[in-house]
Amino acid sequence: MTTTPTVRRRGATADEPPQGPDILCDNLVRIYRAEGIEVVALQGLDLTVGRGELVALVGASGSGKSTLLGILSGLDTPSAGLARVAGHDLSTTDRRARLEYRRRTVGFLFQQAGANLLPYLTAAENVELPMLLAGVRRRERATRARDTLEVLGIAECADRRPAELSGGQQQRVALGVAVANRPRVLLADEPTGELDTRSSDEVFEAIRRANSELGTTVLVVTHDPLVSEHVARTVAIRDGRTSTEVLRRDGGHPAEEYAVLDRAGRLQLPRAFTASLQMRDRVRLDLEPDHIGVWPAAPRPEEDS
Amino acid sequence: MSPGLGPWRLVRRGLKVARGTVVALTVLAAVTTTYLVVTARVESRAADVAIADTVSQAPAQAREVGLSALPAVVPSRPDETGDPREGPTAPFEAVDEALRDVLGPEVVALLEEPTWAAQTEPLAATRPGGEAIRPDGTQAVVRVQSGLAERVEWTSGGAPGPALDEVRTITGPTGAAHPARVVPVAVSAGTARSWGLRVGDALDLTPVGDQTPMAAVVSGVFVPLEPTDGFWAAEPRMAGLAAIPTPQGGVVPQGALVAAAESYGAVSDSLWRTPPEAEEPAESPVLAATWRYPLDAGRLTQEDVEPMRRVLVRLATDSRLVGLTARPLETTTGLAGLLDRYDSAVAGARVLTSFATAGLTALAVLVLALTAIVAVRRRAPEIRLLRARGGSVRQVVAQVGTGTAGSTLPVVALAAVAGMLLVPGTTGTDLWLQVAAVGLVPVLATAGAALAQVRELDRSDASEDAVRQRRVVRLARRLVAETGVLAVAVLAVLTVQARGGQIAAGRTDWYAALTPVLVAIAVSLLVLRLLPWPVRWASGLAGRGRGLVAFVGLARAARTGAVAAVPVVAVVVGSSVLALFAALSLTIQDEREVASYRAVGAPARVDALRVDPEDIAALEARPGVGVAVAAYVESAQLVAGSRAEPVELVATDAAAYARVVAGTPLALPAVPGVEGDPLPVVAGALPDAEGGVELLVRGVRIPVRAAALDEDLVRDDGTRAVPMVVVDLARLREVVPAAQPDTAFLTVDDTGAAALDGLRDPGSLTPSGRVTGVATAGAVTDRVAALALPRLVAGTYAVGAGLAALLTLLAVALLLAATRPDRTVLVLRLRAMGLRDGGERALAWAEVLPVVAFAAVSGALVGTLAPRLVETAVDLSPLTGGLTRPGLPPHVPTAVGAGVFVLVLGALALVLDAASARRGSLADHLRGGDPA
Repeated sequence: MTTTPTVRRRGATADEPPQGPDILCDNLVRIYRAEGIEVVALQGLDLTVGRGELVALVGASGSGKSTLLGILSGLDTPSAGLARVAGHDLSTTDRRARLEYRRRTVGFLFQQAGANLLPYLTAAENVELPMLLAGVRRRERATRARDTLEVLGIAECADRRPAELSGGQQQRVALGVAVANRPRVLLADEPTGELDTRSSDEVFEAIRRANSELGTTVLVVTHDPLVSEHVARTVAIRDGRTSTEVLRRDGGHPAEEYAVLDRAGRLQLPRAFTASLQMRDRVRLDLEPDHIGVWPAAPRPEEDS
Repeated sequence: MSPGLGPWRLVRRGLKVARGTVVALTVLAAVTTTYLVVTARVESRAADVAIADTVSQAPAQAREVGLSALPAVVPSRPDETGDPREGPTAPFEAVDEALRDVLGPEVVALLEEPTWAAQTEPLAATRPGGEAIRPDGTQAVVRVQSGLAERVEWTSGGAPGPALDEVRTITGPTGAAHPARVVPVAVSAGTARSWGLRVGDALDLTPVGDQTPMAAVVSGVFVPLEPTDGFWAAEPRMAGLAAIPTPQGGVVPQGALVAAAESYGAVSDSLWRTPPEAEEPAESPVLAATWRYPLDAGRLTQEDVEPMRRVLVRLATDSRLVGLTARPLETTTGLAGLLDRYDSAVAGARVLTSFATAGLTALAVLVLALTAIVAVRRRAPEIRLLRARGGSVRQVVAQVGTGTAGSTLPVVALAAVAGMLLVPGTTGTDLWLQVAAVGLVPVLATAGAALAQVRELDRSDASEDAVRQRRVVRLARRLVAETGVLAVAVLAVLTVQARGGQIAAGRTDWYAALTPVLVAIAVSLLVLRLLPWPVRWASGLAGRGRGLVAFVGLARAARTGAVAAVPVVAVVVGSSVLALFAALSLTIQDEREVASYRAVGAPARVDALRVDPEDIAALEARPGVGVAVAAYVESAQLVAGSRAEPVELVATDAAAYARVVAGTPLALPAVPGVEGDPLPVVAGALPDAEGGVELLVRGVRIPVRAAALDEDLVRDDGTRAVPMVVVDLARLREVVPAAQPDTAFLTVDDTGAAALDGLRDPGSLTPSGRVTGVATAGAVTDRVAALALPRLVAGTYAVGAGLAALLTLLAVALLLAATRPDRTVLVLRLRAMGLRDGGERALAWAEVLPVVAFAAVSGALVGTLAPRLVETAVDLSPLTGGLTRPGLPPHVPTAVGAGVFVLVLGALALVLDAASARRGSLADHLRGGDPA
């Protein structure tokens, strides 16, 4: 199981759903089939993200990050396992429930800024769009759109079309769109992937503000070390499974890296560790009173001596 | 801040983004709708004009209601010597009143001013004292006629008035002195010139038999204002002398002396005076009365057809016309035949226009659907985004559907209303089904495509079973669709062949009208199945060479997926529609020329009382006239045993006639010889009989044998088409000396034809002045082409062909647009491998042109063969002016032409696409590595 640090939650209200983690993935499996070939994108992934957390998800290309986000956003369904977001079991929800889920429970931020916005609407209208689709009244839509843009620091862009905005501004407007309906969870797929450093900073700052001021739980897929180093928790995925977690605490403590132990007792050792000790195929385990020792299959030094 | 986003603002903004597609959709829908509405309105107007055409083209007696009553029968002999009496009362008004009652106000309103007349038998005309007017014998009929003054111009004198009080005593055939009131008569200028008559000349008119003579005085000399007026056709001798053949082979000139209607009693009394002891008969025993009620062609519309048909029934059965005259009234009218011919002509034209409108509707619907689908594909990112933002299926479909095709429906409605306001006419319910299809298909196609996109996005079950199930469903769906289309096409062909007669007779059958399109769609499915084979083979060939672009392009063409399916279907249908239009138009043109030659008998014909060698010489001397040959033309019969077939005999110098008709539809397969017995003939048909065949002409039977037969040798005399029989005139005259040349056949160039067509006085053509009429094949062709229904069909097909070409061009452009994204990705890869500049354009040509070529050729073949499939339902004769129903043979050059034309359209689309790509954004060019 993954560790779940305690975080503050400013935006919490009285009519909240039942307590529990906002994101819970248990033994999640997703298999694609393309031209007769099966690809197992997720092979028993476990992940828990508590309410109000801001978590970065990292991993190599093809490790399953985008697949996981697709499932969590309700755009895709798992082949097996449990995926629960804010109390919605995504394995069993029907189309109608899934639609409501997309409208009110999650917000999604695509990597390409252009893909997040309709080019023929202004920034404010783009932010209003999800509210319009969700049936929010006109007056409330306008007010909430204005508030959202202000929170994200781009109120001056309200009447501009995406083509008139910089990449960073576009992505911040896109963030506004994603959180327009005040979702419980924000899922962002490499939101800074196409941006320069300064714009990246601005976008990430906006995400952080959405997390802190709107109380939105955030899961960000990223390759950007700048992002992953500025979140309290970074989860790494390898071969469709969560492999390690890095926790950063306030107060100048160094980051601590943890391996993830799943319910079946499986553990992924970091590739750097196994490589440096030339661990291959088999390792030897020793149960000690306070830890488990992992040894290469070769004889231990004291045994040799 | 903007005023806030609402559903309509969202749709409006979406409209702006997709304005290119929206404009294409709306313009296409508007043009198609206008075409359909205008065609329907013009068709209804043409049907109105066509009834006028049919009536005005018909012989005068066929286009009027005529009544006639024979002279009354009286038992006694006339009083030869008694004093003149008032004579019987004319029955004109009484019959007129009764007939108007029978016709009813609805039909009476369609009539011109009626005229009536009463006429004697031919009388010998002499000057008083018995001096002959001309040495060749002169006969005249006296015609009591109403309405003369309005139709003539007086060259001297004036209209004849009532009989004079002056009495002249004439010695009759029995030698008795017969006192008769002098009746003023008018005479035509031609007759007056020929007889040497002047105003004030007195004439004695002596009948044959037991009638008594009458006295007349010339009150005026006239020329007809309008010689083609049916008024003159009722009695051509009023306008000039007629040559009446005698049993001996000669001709007697006869003219008409026209008296006023008020002279009815005096004329009758002069010719048959009732003895003093007998009661005056109610009607004349010497005058046959006639009433003419001509239809005014200009007032007729198609709505008058049914009332006229009802009247025709009443004329035959109504008791109000019984007992009005001493002897029963006889009705003479050709209206029933005219109305039948009109119905048949309208039905034929409707079938042809229905092919055009149905074909165009189907093609437009396909292209509209295709445009909508391409537009939705371009909005795929927007659909994905809307769906990700929580848009329901309904919201996404509504947004994309309304934003893409929402303007189509109001534009279609506006175009329909504009068409109705601008073009007068009526519209049937069928039209609105077509218009609805044009308006709704883009909306439905957009909604369907958007729905498919959403479903594709939502499809997340990638399990093996689900994938297999989807593949099976897709395969089954395609098979069902293909089988369905094939079945519908086969049924359509069978339906046309089963109901062809009914359709040709006027039954509107849209299923049948769609037959060519359904067959084209079925063939296009075959094309989609077969296309990969030859293209793959060509790709393999290209792969062996060094042409990377050709290899890759052809390889991609061989993998025509669902994206290319609709454009390919549209190109096949477009090509077939173009070929069908061209094939039918050319067949109509060809058959119209054939019909005109069958009517005239040569490039030009001169009819005369007699044609002498000096007449031929004079004709050949005219500018623009080549060869002229004299001929004796007569209706005859070919008798084989007990069977007799009517034929048109052309006795002439056969070798010269063969030169005249060489290269025309009446070209002789051989020249009948002048030697041997039986008489050699070249004929359109010859009955097969063991006992031999005889030609029956002027009561003489002549054994004949076939020198050559050609079923295309047919003559058409305006009422029937019969085989032509060509014989040598000299040989014929050995047996039938009375066979005098009365026709000259000529070859003419355009100048000569124009001069003959513009001739006002045919008599001036020859020194003898015996010419009675002139006709040229070109003029007949032009006259038929200028009629309302042929113009309607020609116009519908010409505009339809333009529209079909535009739609086909658009289909190819959309094929390019639909395949462009994949091609762009490929170009990016190929550029990395060193693709030369301009290679992407070559790739587009290599990829798209083979598909277009295959589709174009297939469509052209369908369009060329389609007339054969619907032959039973199509009667072109009303549009050609012919009397026989022509066949619809395949027209191979048309297929080639249509195929090449569509290929050129494809090339044009590629050029336009390349030009459009050059105007793309700089970013796109840089991304593609394009140095342009």
